[in-house]
Amino acid sequence: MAQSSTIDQIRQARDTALAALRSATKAVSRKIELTTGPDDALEAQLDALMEQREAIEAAATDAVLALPEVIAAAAALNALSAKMKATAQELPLAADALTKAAAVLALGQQFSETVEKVRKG
Amino acid sequence: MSADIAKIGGVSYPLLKVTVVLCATAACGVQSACSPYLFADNVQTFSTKMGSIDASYRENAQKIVAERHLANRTLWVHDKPKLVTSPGCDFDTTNPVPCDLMAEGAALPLVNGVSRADPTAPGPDVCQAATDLPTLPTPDGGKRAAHLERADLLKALDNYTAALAAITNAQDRADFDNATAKVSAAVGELAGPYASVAKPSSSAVLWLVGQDLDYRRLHELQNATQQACEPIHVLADALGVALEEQRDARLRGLFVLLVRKTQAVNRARTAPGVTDQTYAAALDDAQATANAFQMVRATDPHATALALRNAHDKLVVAVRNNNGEFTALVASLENFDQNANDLAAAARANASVSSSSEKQS
Repeated sequence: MAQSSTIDQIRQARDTALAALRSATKAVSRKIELTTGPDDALEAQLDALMEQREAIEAAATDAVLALPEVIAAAAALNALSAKMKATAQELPLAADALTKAAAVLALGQQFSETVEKVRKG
Repeated sequence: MSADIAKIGGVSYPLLKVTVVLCATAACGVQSACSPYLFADNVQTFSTKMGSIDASYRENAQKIVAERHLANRTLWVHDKPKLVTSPGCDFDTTNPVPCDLMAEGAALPLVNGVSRADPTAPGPDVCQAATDLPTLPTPDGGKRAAHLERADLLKALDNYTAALAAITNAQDRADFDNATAKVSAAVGELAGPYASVAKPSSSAVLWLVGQDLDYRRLHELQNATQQACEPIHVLADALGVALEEQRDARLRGLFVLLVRKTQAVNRARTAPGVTDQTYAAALDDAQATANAFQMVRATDPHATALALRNAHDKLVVAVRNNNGEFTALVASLENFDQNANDLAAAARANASVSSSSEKQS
């Protein structure tokens, strides 16, 4: 599927970029865990790595949400949902159907009673 | 019953009755097994699970902010930097930067979705084409939005599941059946000498009306699920990426918290005058964060999205064929349910971790 392959390509590119940060993140975090005194440089490195990770994730998701097929799919589903809800309101409700059926049956009943009167009369 | 009075429009009443019942049987023989109300529970489950993911997503978004605040607080209590409010603390509601406290000179909080490409034509539809189904109207009269927000994705899916629930409207069917029984009984009482004819006939008429009610809803359900088939595929894939992004945000927050709490344990270990109780509290705190990190790490948003997509595919096939594929549908929904519950469990666990961390920070 064209859409899936495009989305999958974006996911793969994202995961490759994230994987490149992994070893550096682990090394920095380990140093911080074992450091008992303040170390602004290490903290700054960890923050920078986290921000870079966040930026990669956001860029990948933005790219997916900007895909024309994704935008079209959301618009199509919204249009379909609106149409479905409108149709659901137009569908015969039980109460309406029941009223019509009861009216038909009442006419039949009146007819039967008229015929009965004629027969007795 | 006299033969004279049993003529209605030149047709004998018993013959009319038989004809009505035969017509009803013939008409409903095709439809009787395909009532959309049979799907109502499954559709409701689908809708509920979609709502669960949506709620989990929003809950996670709140937790991400809370974790950022907590991480900042931990750092700031230690470093005591100059704090300022972010540029988002103004009346310009279109500013994508959130209102928050920040250290002077620090980078602004990163905002998702700043720039996006313009859309072009949609891709091909690989779902089974149904030639007798109406073409979906061009959304927004052919004018499409320039981009989607993450919330738009979930809103589209929520709208659809709500519309599915509206089409099935199981309560309506239940109301109809109850009312039918009452009318049928009332007609029987009124019919007097013709009760034996009138009551079965009225039941047949009401039954036909009821079946038509079902059939029309089923037809709409078939059309809707078929037309939604491809959009659901695309949106489920996109949802997977968005959920993965959110999971990573949760992991980042927990990771930084975990590193700092682990550091706090090591500091407590070597610090003079620290009691066992104090050290144990720091250790428990770090452990709870590690547990929460693992819970989030174990979730699979991509699988959740695939389960959502597969669940809808099963629904499409079951409604289209009406050949009793309910077992597969239910199994798929259970898989979806499991994934949704995993996310919800992780969110709940992290909520408790955040609370305990805040108490001890």
